[in-house]
Amino acid sequence: MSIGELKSRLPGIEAHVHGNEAVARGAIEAGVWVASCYPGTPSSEISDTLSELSKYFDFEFEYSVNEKVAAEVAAGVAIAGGKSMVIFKGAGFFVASDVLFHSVYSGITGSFVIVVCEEPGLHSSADEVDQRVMGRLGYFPTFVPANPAEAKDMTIEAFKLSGQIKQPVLLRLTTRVCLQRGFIKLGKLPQKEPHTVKWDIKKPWWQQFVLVPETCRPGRLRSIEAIDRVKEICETSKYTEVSKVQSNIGVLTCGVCHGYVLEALKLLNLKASTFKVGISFPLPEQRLKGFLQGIKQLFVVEEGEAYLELNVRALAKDVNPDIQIFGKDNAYFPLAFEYDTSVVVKSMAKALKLNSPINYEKREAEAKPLQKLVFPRPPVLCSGCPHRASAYAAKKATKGKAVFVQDVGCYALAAPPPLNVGDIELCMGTSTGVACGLNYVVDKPIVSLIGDSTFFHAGLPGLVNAVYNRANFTLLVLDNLATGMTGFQPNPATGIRGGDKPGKRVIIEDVARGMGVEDVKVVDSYNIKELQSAIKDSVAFEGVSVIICRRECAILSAKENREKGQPIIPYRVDPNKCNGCWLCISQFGCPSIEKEGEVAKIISENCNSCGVCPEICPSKAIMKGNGDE
Amino acid sequence: MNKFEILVAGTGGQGVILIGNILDRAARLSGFKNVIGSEIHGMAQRGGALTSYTRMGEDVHGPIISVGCADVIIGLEFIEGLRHIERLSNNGWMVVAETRLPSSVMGTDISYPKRDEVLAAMKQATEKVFVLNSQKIAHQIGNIRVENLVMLGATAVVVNPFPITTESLKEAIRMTFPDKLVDINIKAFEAGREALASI
Repeated sequence: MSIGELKSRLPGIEAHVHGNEAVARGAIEAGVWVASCYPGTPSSEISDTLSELSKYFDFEFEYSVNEKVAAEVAAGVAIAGGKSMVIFKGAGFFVASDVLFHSVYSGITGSFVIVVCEEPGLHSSADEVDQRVMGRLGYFPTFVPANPAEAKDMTIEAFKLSGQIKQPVLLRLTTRVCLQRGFIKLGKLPQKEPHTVKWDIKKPWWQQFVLVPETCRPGRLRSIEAIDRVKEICETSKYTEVSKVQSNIGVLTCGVCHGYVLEALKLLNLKASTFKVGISFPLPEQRLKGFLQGIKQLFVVEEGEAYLELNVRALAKDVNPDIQIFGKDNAYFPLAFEYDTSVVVKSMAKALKLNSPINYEKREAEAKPLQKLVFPRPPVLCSGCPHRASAYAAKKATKGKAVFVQDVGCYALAAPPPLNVGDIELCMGTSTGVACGLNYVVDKPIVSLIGDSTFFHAGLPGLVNAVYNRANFTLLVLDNLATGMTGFQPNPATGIRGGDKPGKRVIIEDVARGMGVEDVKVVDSYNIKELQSAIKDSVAFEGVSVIICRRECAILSAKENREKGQPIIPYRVDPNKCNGCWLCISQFGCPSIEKEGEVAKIISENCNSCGVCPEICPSKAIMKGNGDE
Repeated sequence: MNKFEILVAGTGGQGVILIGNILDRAARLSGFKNVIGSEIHGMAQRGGALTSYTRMGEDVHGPIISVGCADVIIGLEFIEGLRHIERLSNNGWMVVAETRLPSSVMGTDISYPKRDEVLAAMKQATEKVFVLNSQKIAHQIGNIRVENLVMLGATAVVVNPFPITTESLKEAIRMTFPDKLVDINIKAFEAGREALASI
């Protein structure tokens, strides 16, 4: 919303931003040299904002092909002595974890900030793994901001800390911090410095940065020492917010939950001391021990795992063994999904036998019967989406008698009815790797679907594996020339780089042939007859086949047409020819076609004019134009 | 509790987040120190439903509107307000557009529920339901995309007392849009105010 404000070079200005934009601005104020990422909700706007800001400020930004490579790019910069940041969603941490965990053993000579955005509540992710646990597991000092202002300040602090201890530092946000809007004060921009390292060829780099057991043993000790130093810093950090009042009740919390706690205490008219953790690893144990003195009942309010709770239970054994702790471990707070003020109010009221000022359950029960009228709005493939055509062709060509292995992207929306093209999808790259496994055991042909960006992200190793191990399946690479699901970021198939700079386009069919795939075809997704016959041929082919189904994303092409002033001429149904078979609705599932009495009708303002429906209509009842000509 | 909470509901492309942003800025301009906005977009671009929350007041510290806490629900689509009605406070305001957008589940069997039934359900939750044909007004202004600003104007006049001043709302509109789009959006905002001013 506010690139204009974020660009400002005048410190002290107030900007209206969400948490993601605040992190991007924080990186600029910290003097980042290189930022790399793979886009993914809820982190995407950090990357997209940096991509835009890279046009105005002196730093490099790249959309990397996947999170592991993005992390390697950032590690490379930081090992050489630069300031780097890598950004991804929770699942991205898993992909990058090999590099990240080992970068702790090597250490760095510059600064290295890892930004991970996780999703309690799974709004648009396939997991809600608590990344604070990763901080502990990997020995990454971990900042956990609660709001946009903290997100910016902690980003800057993370760069400082990383440079000080020569270790990577983690910044962990949750959706409600990423997409929380607030007002931040812009800080000073750093002095210009050259972003070049004079590589000292005489330095025995290998002793620290070539990871073999001999170099990793001292590396392990270095990482432990670094955490010991951070422990001291944590004890006095301004991000540990303690509010001690005259009360036997205490609350331990971190991140966005702090706000819910303050609201719950007010609603319940409860006096309690609060301890807000700003760095979740390592914990400020001495301060926490001091806080526990004199507290009889402690609430631990945190989304995700019982992370703070298990730590505080261990600490309390030494300093306050009689304390009563209410958390997830004794089922006072839920383990799953995101919290809000009502969750905290309900749990506190239950534990202390208080009356809740709002009867949340009653309100929900009253609303339920009224909401019976409300229908679901599941996300669907857009009007004119080339993926719909490709999925429909795959279903027709195999007469629905194939195993469909899906991957992560818009096309996974072909899995539910009416298309039913999708049986399995776990994570990025499933379509090639899992297909290799299925190939050993299932008795039906296997057809896999993967998008262009996902193909480069995680499809390549599985495809090589398939060629090498003589698997037999057909891979449809749905090349819509965009990373559609996360907001149209470019990828190698588009040949555009971050900051809209020109890159080199990587041709998918050349890659497939180079990998040893013998049966490679390129078909226009909208040419549904040719695509069906290509799929039939490839399924019959013994070995791995790749069909590149190429057609630009319908949203992008509609946007381009609008900008060029080119009108979209919609299709229409001839009511005299339509026999009401409903194939276009009940099997093809175009959202621009609706039932009007006994015949189908195309909603002309929604039609993106893909021209596929006339191809599939058995009565030849659909034609271009509004009928006026 | 010193707070005021506004929930904006609609579907992808209707400008839900945009209205949320304007409300945030306007609340701040109206002098609120604590203003927190929140949005979930997820897969809204693919036809899904989405919401934006704007919370203001000294007792506001978190981003989410809890069940039973929204003072106002603005529905940019006719049934979308009802989807979140459990969040409405006792006797809170509902300002809802007549605009009915179908969902992908509406194939050959399911159709959009009857207008009167939806309205009756909303009225059972609160007496203060206001429905406006914002689409028609936006058409008259000459740009269907300003329908959301019509709804904002209507909300600002019908919700009484409304803690955000009209001047702040207009200033926030000016801050949000590029120069060439300011006039038409201000016009839409005024038209929304006029449409419900006599109620």
